Amino acid sequence: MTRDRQFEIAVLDGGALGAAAIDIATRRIVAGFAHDGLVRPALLDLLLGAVLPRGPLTWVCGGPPPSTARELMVAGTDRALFCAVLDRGELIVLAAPVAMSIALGWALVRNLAAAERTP
Amino acid sequence: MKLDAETPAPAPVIVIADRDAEIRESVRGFMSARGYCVEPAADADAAAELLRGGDIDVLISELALRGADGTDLLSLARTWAPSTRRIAIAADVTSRDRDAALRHGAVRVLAKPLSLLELADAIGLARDCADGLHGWMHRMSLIDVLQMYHLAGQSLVLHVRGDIEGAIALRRGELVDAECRGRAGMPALVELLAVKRGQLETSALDHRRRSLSGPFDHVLLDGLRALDETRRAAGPAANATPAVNGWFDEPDARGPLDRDALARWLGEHAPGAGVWRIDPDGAADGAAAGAGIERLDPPGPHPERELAGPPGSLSWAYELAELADPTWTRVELTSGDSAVALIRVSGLLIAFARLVSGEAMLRRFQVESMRLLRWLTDHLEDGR
Repeated sequence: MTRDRQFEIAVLDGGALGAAAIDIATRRIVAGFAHDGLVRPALLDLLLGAVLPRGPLTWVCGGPPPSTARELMVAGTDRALFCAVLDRGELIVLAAPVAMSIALGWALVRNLAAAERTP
Repeated sequence: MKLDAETPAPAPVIVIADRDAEIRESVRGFMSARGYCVEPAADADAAAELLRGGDIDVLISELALRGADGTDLLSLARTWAPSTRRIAIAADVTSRDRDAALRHGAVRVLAKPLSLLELADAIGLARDCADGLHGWMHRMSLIDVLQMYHLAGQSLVLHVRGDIEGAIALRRGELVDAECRGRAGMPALVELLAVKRGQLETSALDHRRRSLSGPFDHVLLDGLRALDETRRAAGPAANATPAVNGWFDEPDARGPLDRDALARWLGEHAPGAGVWRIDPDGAADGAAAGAGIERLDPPGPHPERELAGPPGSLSWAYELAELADPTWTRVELTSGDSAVALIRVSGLLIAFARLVSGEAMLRRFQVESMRLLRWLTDHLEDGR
């Protein structure tokens, strides 16, 4: 089964909105399903450390982030976004309806992360 | 040591010390049929001789024995045979008897007339206590205890006693079954997670029913989330409250943040975590030191306080959330050994942070942050 198919199954069966695996070095989507508009380049820059936070809270919260990101979850009024940075140089991103359980969202991300990277 | 498949394990040895020959014989018959080797003793001296003579797995001692007080025998057993687990039985168990027996290391204190099934359960528990500590603890939440047994990879049944009674079974640290007031599975688990006070008791895992499936943290988080939804649905503002994440849409319905109550809750449920109330507008570059941020976790020297100040990843999490979704209500970010959560509720911005080392601590952080969200929602909704 191709990785795209694995993402399709995870999204459709899990009730998510879309998901993708992104190569961190090239920012290229290496696998995914319904991933258009899933994540903005500016968010990737900030998440992956290409750009440092410069907003108002840096004044009260000290210097730059201490380490690379591992997991990010942002829940809004319409959707929740789950991101997991993998040691193998990939970022798994999954968008889910806000009504979906956060535990289920992470379970889907971990299943996708566990899938082997195809050459 | 691994036993050969063809080498049968030796039968566990029980000593039953009781004045009543009928009880000794009925215990011998009942437990022998279950694969135990049962040695009867009519008085304390005979029981002591057996204890000195060999490896006894479980000592069952009447508290009113001839020759010595039963608690003396329990005490002697602790000295002579520390690996022997002890069960006390008595005709009229007073609270003083019970306390004395437990102080002398009894795993269970059973009342006469003796139920042989109850005794078999107690023996099963006693054998299960071959390793590890056992005893009384208090100020534990059910979630704390579940996480403890999960991390230890234990197989046992956790009984909840009190106004609401039920049981949760773990097999190798995973939640496999819950039952409460005739319900099973997730509905039972949700009902038990809502219990705020009562007693907990453990017993050996003795059944194979499976009503829960999935990794521990997923099952627990689903249970907590279902509990949140149940509470919100039952609350007075249920109809006005969106299903998830939009509950700060009606700030007028909530009261101000009670810092003292929150500090008490944090000291009890999330010790060591750092919690701040943040005002991004007041934290602009050039503002006075400390402007725009207020620490809310219990003040003063705290032995478990992990973070001297807000971690740098807090501003990172805030900016990521603003970029990802301007309508964000909750964000969690893990980086290196720190995890931060930001919660927007009722017009407040609350930051929650903890040092995390490993997956178990990360899952604990996620459960705590969800519980903090629940606390904030409940208390601000109540107007307290």
